[in-house]
Amino acid sequence: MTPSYNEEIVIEKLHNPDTMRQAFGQVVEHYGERLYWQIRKMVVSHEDADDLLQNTFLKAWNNIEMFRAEARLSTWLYRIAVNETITFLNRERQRNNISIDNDDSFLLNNIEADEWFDGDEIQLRLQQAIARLPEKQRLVFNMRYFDEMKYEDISEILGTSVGALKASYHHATKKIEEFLLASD
Amino acid sequence: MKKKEDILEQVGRKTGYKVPEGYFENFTARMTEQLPERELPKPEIVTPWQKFRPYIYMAAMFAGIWLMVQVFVAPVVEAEEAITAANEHEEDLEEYMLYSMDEYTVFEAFYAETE
Repeated sequence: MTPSYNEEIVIEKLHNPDTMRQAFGQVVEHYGERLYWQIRKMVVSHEDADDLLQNTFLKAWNNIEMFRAEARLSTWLYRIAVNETITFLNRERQRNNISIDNDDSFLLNNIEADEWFDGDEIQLRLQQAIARLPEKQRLVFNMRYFDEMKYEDISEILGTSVGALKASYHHATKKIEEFLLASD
Repeated sequence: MKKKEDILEQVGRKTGYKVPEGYFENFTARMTEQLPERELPKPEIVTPWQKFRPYIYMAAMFAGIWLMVQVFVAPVVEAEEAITAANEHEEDLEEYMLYSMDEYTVFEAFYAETE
C-alpha cells in the first residue's frame, strides 16, 4: 500500500498524457499485491499468477481511456483480472483435456512439490476443497473468505446479484466443510 | 455439530502460498518498464455551436411543425368553422360568400347578374 495514494488525483493524472505513466506506476504499486493474491488463489502456480498479473496491468494500460472516472478503479482492475484468470483456466482445461463439468483439482497436482507453497496439511486440504468447487463459487469464496470483501463490491466485480452471491458463498462453505470433515 | 461449525475457523485464512523474496517490491518497477509507449487520444474540443446544435435543431423542427400547422391546418379549420357559422345563420351566407371570394370573382358575379 502506498501511503500517499489518493485515488481521485491518480485518476486525474491517468487521463493526462504527461502524468499517466507515473500515475499508472502508483496504481500498480497500490493494487498489485491484492490482484496477485486474487489470481494466485485461482490458478495456484506463482508463475502463472505472475504472467496473469502482468497481462492484467498491460490490458489496463492499453485501455486506460476506457476507464470512466465515475467507476471505481479497483472494480475495473478486478474485472480485468477475473476475465484474464477465467480465460487462462479455460485454456488450461482445454490443454489438459478436462471437461467443463469436472473440477479444477488438476491445478493442485504438483502443489506439494511447488517451491512456492509451504502450507501445512490442513492448508493443503483447504486448497483441495476449494479447487473442487465450481469456478464461480471459487471466485466468490476466495473474495469473501480470504479477502473479506463486501458482497456489494463482489457484486460489482462479478456482475451478480448480492443474493446470488450469498447463496454461492453458502454452498461453497458447506461443500468445503463437508470435504474437510470427510478427510479428517 | 460444533466441530462442523468450527472447521473453517480451525483452518484459518492462510493459503499456504508464498512468493519469491522481494517479489512485490520489485513488481512495480518490472511492470512499468514493460509498459509500451502510448498516446492518449486528444480530448475533443467542443465548440459552442456543437454544444447547442441539438437544441437549435430541435427548436427549428418545432418551428417547422408550427409553421406547417399555420399554413395547412389552421385555414381549413377556420373555413370549416366559418361554413358552420354561415349555415347556422343563413343571412350571413351571402356575406360569407362575398368575404371568401376574391375581387375578380365578385366583379364577375356582379356583371353576370347585370347582363
